[in-house]
Amino acid sequence: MSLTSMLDDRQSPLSRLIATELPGLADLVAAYRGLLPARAALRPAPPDDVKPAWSMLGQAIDHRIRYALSDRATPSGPRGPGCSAPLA
Amino acid sequence: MLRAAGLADPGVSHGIWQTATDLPIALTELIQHELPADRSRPMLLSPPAEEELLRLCYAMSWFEAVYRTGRLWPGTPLGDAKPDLDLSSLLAAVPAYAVADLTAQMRLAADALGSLRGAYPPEDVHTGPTFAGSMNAGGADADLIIGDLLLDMKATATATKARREDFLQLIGYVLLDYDDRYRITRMGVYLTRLGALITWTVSEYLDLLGARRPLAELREMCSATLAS
Repeated sequence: MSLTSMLDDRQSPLSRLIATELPGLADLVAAYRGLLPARAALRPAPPDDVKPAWSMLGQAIDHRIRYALSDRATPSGPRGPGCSAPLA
Repeated sequence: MLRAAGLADPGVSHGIWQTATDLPIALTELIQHELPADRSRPMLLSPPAEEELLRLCYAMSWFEAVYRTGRLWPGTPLGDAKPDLDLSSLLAAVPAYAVADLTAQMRLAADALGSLRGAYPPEDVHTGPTFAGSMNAGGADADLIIGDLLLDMKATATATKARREDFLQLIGYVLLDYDDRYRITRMGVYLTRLGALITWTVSEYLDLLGARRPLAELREMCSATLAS
């Protein structure tokens, strides 16, 4: 089971451990919100009849920033098209 | 995978296959030429190179959607591909609004992450790091570790609506680093649409979460919980 799935499931052993040992999520969320800048977030501006491809945009900027930071962020990442075998 | 995705036309299949092969080659060539991680160069490339890299990143995301879902989605260049599909036509299909949006996000990133990028050389950056405990958590991998900073990237336009799981996932990675391999002392999130880098020390994060035990003990408990 993935970490995300474990956290999504509030009855998973990991979620129960966190609920017991790290019970202050509300304080953390409040602190986070207090640190958010007041400015508006950038939003894509597609043509009127087009919905923004949020997922594609999110993945693309993720890749681009990795390339700015690391020279080991290879194009053939674990789910990238450079991993040719799964396409066969 | 292409057959599983419902693609019957061998000509189209070959076009997609060839494009999937050409894309990482073109990406590698561009990266080797432009050196986007080179700290002596600006984070933003020249406008033509930046646009090409952004188009390649976006096109890569189309393929990732196929890998992730096992489907060629209608309405996308891969789902509607014809036999003459090639990398040039795929890159040309990246919407202009997407290029503009990604360029704007990169301008924010250059300002917000410039100091961090300058402070740590590329060899101190781990992309997609996995942890000693990842094997007990479906191979969990984080976005980035830059020096001692564990960083999650979020491209949401509604940062105030961050989910419970987003915060817990971050501490989850720290807990999965059973052997303290990465010596993470700071953690945080970079909000790409706000250009906001929000970080805490691990101690601050644990304090905010109400931890009563030291990190080492929490890691031991996490390890025992996931192993059982």
